[in-house]
Amino acid sequence: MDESSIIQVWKVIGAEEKEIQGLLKAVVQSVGWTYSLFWQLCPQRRKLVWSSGFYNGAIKTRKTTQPAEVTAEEAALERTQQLMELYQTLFSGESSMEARACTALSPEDLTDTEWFYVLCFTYSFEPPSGMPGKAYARRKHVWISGANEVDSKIFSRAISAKTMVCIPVLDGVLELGTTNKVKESEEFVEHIKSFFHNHPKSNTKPALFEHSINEEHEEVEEEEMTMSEEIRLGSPDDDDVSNQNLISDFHIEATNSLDTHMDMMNLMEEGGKYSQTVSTLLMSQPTSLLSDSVSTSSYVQSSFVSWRVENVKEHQQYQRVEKASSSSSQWMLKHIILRVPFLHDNTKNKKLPREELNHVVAERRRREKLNERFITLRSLVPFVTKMDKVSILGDTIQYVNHLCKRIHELESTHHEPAHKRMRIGKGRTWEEVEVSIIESDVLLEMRCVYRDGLLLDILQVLKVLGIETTAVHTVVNDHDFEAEIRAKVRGKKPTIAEVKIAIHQIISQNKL
Amino acid sequence: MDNSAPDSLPRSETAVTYDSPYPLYAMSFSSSTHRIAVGSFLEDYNNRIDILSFDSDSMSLKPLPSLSFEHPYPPTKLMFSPPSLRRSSGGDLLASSGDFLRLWEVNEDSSSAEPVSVLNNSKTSEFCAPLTSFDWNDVEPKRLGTCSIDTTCTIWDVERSVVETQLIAHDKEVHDIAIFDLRDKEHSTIIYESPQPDTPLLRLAWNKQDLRCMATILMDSNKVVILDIRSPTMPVAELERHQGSVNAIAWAPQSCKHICSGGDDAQALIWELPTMAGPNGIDPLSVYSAGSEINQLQWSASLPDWIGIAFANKMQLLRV
Repeated sequence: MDESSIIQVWKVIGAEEKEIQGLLKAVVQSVGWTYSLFWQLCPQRRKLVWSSGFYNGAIKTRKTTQPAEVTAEEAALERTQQLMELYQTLFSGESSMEARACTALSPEDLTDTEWFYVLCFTYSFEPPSGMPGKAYARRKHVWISGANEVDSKIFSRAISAKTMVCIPVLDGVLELGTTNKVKESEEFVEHIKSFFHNHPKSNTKPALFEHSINEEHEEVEEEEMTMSEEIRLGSPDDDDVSNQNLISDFHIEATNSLDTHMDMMNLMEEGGKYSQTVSTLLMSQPTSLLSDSVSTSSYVQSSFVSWRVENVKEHQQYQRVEKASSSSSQWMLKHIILRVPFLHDNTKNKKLPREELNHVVAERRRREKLNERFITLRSLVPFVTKMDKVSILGDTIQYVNHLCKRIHELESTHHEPAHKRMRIGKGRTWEEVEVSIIESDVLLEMRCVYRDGLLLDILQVLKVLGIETTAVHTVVNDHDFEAEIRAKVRGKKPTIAEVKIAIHQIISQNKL
Repeated sequence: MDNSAPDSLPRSETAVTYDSPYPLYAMSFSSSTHRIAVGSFLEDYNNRIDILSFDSDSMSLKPLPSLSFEHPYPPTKLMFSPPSLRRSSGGDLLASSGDFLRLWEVNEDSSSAEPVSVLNNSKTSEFCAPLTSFDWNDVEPKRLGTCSIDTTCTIWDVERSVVETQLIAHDKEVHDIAIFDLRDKEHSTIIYESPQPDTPLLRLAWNKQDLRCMATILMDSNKVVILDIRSPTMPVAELERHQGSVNAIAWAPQSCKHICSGGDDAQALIWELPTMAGPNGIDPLSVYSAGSEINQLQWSASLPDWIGIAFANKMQLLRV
């Protein structure tokens, strides 16, 4: 979701929202606590989501657009607003990063409590889980003092705030927190509640707003949740943020949030202190986070269901039926590719203009000539190891160089021209078979002991292999047989090994 | 992980459907607006291309009848221009392939769709070989490549409406074309030959996030073959979990490891490619079952949370 729609939604909230925020501000300032939040119940999903908040705590770096003279109130409001903007930029995608104003906050400008405040935006609770959830379900306030020491099962957000109170008011839960340790007090709770007694219970907000606010939260929360899980698992290894395994471990359905994760992770690394804070934050409540994330992921209703191996079994039946009607496989795709283009032909000349056809044929012939020449070259050069065009050219170059050197040597030393190579050890059977297949052209060279009918046998076995002989050149002297056979492959292309084996078999036949 | 919490919406409600009066095949998402073009599939001369508007707030797909226009025979492919090529008037440029490559301007004020040009790659006559597919070059959007049954592929310069090059590298009809980099026009390497001879490769898709990777599907095959152009002829992976032939594939616009496929088994599967495949092959991440065979699948960068599928007379947007 792009940032502009988030901002639009927030702007449109209007008077009612401002009222709540005003109340929050009043409440927190009256007791001098650090922050106040309002968790609102979203009836569709039956969860409490962040609705409004006010930050009243310590600020690290002040960044403001206004001149120095500004009241404390306005400054505080502005701070809250800036924290909200920071959150939006962090969680709504990379593109908005560059668009941030120079006065916008960056993670290093925040104190720990401010950072905690920002992270609160992302939480949601399904009553009665979580502290706000419990308060809502029981319709009674929940007070925790010494929050940072509390067992994670009870309080899922370990923070630097020491005291936290959740009070059910209106249609949600008000949460207050402070960095001081404050003892539980009924008067305090009543005092807070009094602020809200005069406020009319907010009825049905226009469905659109609710839906869009929550939708933003849904998506973002899911991203946040899954990202948080990654950080949790990543922190033992730390520094090197390699999410690959982590992501594949969780069957996350929002695959588009991957990039956002990366950015979030990078940001975390930059604000090293914050990644630590977040890590400790998350380390301390593995179980509740997981339950949060499971419930959140059903929040963003994906149309897809995660894959189970049973799916394969379920469809066995389907498959058998399908196989029978394989003629209808890919029906539309085949039609589009193979039939539809020819439909057009019916309305026009069936033949392509001769020129174009010639052009295509000429090109094809050129390629065939190239292949043929390559094979010829290959036959001229001994010692060719591989059969691909590049190797053939390389070996040819080497061979030509070698020949040049040899000529040079011979001319300079005037050696007797070498006699025809003596066939050493006639008794020893020596045979050589070289096969080369490039596309559909075949070249077979062989040397072996001659016997009657050898050539015929060879041609026959080639035919069996699906090779159609086109040219034969043989040299027979004494008892030696040398042949160079060119052919074309018809049908299934045999491997070079197959051909060699077959030829060797022929040669060794009748040898007794 | 069981996703059915008691108060969650039923699966079908999360998908947004458009019911068309005729079967659909070609489909394209606009890169700038939330418009989707769908082409009909009627074995008839008169076919139509409709423009739909997707409203993510109200989760609805509405046709814009004023922008609907006729096309002779079913369009084999539809594609909106890449984001970098915007018309001066601000409308979208839509290309359709069929008998010729035609360009249409879909005006922003939604008043009408105007034909812009008809590109004919025959130098001599009015007739040109019908096109099976085409692809728009993201990097240089004025370039568009078409492929045709006369075994050629043609690269067009759409701004000047002229042919740049013709590639004649195939021995048979060309079924699909995907463009990445046009600098090496002189080279063509056989990247992959199907294992059974005479089994054509029907569709291709480049991974826009990892340009060395591409996916292809074969005729009558339930496999999605993933290739790396650095190691030709050896597939990186073969995804074989469809119960019927695969009809369409689409890479995730923002992830180099995710791909979605749809097939005759009426299922759309989302896969994640691991660095190492397990012994039993790769399982998909998630699955969606449609009402009938899925013929088309698109995953656009303009709507990365949604996958569009076409089956029978319907076009559906599925939330990822």
